[in-house]
Amino acid sequence: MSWDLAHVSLIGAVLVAVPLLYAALGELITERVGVMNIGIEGVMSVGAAAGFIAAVKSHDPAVGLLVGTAVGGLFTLVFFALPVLVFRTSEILVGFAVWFIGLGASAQFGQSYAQEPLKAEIPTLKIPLLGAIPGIGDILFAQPWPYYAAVLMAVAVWFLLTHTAHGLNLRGVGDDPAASYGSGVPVLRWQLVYVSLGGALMGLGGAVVSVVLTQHWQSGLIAGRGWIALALVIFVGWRPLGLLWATYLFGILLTLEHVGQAEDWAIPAPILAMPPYLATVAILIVRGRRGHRLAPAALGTSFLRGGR
Amino acid sequence: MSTPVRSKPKLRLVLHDPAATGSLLGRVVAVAIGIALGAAFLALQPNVGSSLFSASWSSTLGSALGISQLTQLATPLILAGCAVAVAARVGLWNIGVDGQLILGAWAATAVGFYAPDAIPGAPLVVLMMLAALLGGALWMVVPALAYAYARVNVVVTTLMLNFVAYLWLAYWITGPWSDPSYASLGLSSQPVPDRASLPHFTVGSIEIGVAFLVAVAVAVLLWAVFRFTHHGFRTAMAGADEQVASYGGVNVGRLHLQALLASGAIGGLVGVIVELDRVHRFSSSLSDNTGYLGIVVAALAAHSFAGATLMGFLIAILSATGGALSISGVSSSVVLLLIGILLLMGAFADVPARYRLLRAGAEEPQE
Amino acid sequence: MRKGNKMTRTARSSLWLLALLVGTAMTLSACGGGGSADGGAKKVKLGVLLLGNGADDYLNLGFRVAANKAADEVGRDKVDLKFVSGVGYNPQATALTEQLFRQGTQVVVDNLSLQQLFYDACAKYPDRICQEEYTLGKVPENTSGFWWKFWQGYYLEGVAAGMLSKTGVIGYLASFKQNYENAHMNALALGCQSVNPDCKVKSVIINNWYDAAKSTSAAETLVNSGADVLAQFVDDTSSVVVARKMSTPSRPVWGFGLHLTQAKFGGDSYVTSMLTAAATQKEITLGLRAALKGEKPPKGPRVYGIGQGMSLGEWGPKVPKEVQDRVAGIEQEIADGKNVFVGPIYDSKGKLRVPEGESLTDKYMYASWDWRVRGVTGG
Repeated sequence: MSWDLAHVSLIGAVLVAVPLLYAALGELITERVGVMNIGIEGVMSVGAAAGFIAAVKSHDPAVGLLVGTAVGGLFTLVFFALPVLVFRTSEILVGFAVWFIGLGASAQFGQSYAQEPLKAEIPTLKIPLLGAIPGIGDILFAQPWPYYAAVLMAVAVWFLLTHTAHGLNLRGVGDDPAASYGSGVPVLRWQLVYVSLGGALMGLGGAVVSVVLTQHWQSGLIAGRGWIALALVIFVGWRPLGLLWATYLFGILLTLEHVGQAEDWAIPAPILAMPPYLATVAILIVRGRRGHRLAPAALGTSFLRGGR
Repeated sequence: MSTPVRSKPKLRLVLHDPAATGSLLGRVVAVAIGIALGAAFLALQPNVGSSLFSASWSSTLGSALGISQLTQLATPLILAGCAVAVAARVGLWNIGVDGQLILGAWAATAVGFYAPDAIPGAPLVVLMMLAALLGGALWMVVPALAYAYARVNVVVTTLMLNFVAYLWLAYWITGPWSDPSYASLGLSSQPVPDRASLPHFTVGSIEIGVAFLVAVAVAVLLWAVFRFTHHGFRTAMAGADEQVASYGGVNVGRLHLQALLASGAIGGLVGVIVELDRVHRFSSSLSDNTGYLGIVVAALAAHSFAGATLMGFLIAILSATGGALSISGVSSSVVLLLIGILLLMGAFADVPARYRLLRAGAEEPQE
Repeated sequence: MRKGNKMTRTARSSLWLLALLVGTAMTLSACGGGGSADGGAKKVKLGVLLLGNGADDYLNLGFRVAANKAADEVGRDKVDLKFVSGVGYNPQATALTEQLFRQGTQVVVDNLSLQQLFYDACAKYPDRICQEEYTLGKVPENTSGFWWKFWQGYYLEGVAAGMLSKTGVIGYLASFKQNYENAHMNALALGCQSVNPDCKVKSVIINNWYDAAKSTSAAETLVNSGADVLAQFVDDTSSVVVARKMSTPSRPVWGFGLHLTQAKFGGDSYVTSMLTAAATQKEITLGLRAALKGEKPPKGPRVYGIGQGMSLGEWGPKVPKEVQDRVAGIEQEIADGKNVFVGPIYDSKGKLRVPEGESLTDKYMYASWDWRVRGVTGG
């Protein structure tokens, strides 16, 4: 493999990682307030379809991404947050319901757009000075704007959670909702807001796939990315900045699968596709117990809430 | 308790027990609403004739063929539900049944391929099932050890290993075990020997596979183990409260390990049962999101094995109804939507039990 | 408390089931059991099973177009056409097919190549007609297969690619490692090498029938590693979209579509698509006509090539006239019966596989081409 190919592949891997970053960030916020939404795949599908339709109609990808975000949030509020938080239904059942409803609804309402082209390019934005750094400049600082927005969002979530009083309270909600409630935090209202915001980010992640990556929509487009996002949140120990490198590593390994084939490496294609998943498991094991202690303390309990 | 009422009694809804599981009335109402919503939604679809509902009925419980097909569809769902439930009883979620069923079927297929011809059908089938149990359990070894010794989240490890297992399947059936004389666009290996199959028999005009009986037998066995043995009691303790169980002298870590491995082993059985029953090849046809539906089954059944059998049937009915609808020209996406709505309603069925209507000012009754 | 919980648990399960039954029965009676409303003239019931592991892809669209046209061809009033979408490679497909037969469907078309899962149902209803895309080996008496000579189409695409490409590298997106995929990439290479003897084909396997995000990323990787023409067998628009996205004035990238025209996705980078629906229409018409007469269609598999219902579609706006003319000329020759797969053909290790004067048969390329020609690399 030539240096040039490695270099352009590293550039491409960034964009592969962006939808995962948005979706995982959405799930991270959700879990930080003590709720686990396993229906990411469904929310992303809805966001992808809605975003694509809006982008085709408006001829503006930004409108598409915005609509994908809004619809993702609204969908999560109605079909997940309200049933789980207000009506106290089981997270796991409702999460699966969201998965099915999201797949079905997006396929149904997006059907007539499956043959629509989207020709609205999002231009590459090269940041002055930083973009000129040899080697990494055009990898990290010459990408379309949704990438920068994703990185800023991750930093913002990190700042919110670790450097503000509000964030401290939020984490309290995820660790011990009863105590938080006792100290005057409006637990339910915050959970509703942040679970919906999380859904909005998942919707945005889906919209990035259809509007930016493939510029094409068909049912089944998300193809398991929601489940990967779910795993990545736990993988990084619920730390937003961890998602930056974890999603990028995932993007690189996903790209490597294709690079290896194009360069005729003597490894069967299915084997070449395994590293992203194996690496996740391996790194988790190596990190061991430290990972476990980072979980929001009340997460497990709420996960089982309807179970027994 | 009985504070004097000054003005008009105001009623308020109070969350009484967030973990209560359902009143009977709640369930009936919830499911009825789900079906009504679904029917209303369908009525709004184009190309849906009035024959739709009778078609759904006759392709599920309304005909011998329908019932035969239900037992076949329910078989892997019951097993998958049991597999998930075993781990869920100690508070762990095995999302990896899809992976375990692939590896179980892989091990069984290897036995089928390399077993000497001298071994007759019945022992071969048993050997293959044992291999599947072992294969599923082995696929669970890493997640189980990682959890027991380092508390690595089981959801992630099992989920990630699903993706690896799909690729493992793709490797074997397009590589070493590929069958160039059966180049189905859906992927399949060479066939296992003819004698490696589970027979079907008929009761009246209903055809039932031995595979179905195996699934029910596994559920019964698990129920007995958890109901009557000391082991089951310890599991219940650990699942309810780890710390209490530890104080009570239960080795919780070992229990987790055992539960996960058992869950994986049963998961391994899911694929081979479909292979021996119908498919007869190591194939992508062995799973139809079965592992994920198994979680739904276990959750709906509240981790009970008897419940898993019934819920496996329920999901089979849903999925057969979905098939009937798609034959009637309803698009498959609508079918997905309907399953989702029914799941949602199933979740809502618990709601009424969790709330009490109280008079303003009244104290919440204590347990 | 414990005991109460246990009781409700079982009660919960049975009630679920009961409620579902009652609900279904109620809606059933409310609807007055409409029954089938096919009174009047005798109609042939046609059911088309469409692949649906999530995606309603271009193959399916082609089948919808083809079945509708076939129904028009034999007379709309004589055909009762049903599409069954969302069919997967699992035993439920067998159940679905059986249900179709039970409802009186005379002709069932399977567009996913379910094979044994399809045959299990067909064998139980020997008086009906089963038509399946891509059969191999033993099939039931009433089942016939059909397929397209994709290799001819890819050969033509290869010729066009050879003339368009500046780098001499064609990128190919494959679904799985299969012999028919070998036929496609080999044909691309042979077509291309008829123009440019040094032409290479790089393939990437997606390990899926449909994952547009993955095939998009794979297509980009192919362009990055030197390809400037993209072809595909993954039933989406990635080859065409990526060609348009990555095309620059100094380095144009070209893309081919599949099954239906995909011109609007590719803009100036679009070359053409291999169209298959007309052949599908022929096959379905054959089944319908036979059913109307109460006969069976002739045994397959019938493989439709260029001139027999498969063709290249309209050309993209920027494809030079000389490319169009040359490809059209060869297309005509193939339609007239010329075999372009003639020796000498060397494999990727340099061994002579087809000596001068010999040629490869359609039967061989259908499913047996287990080696790759010189210049083909990748997954």
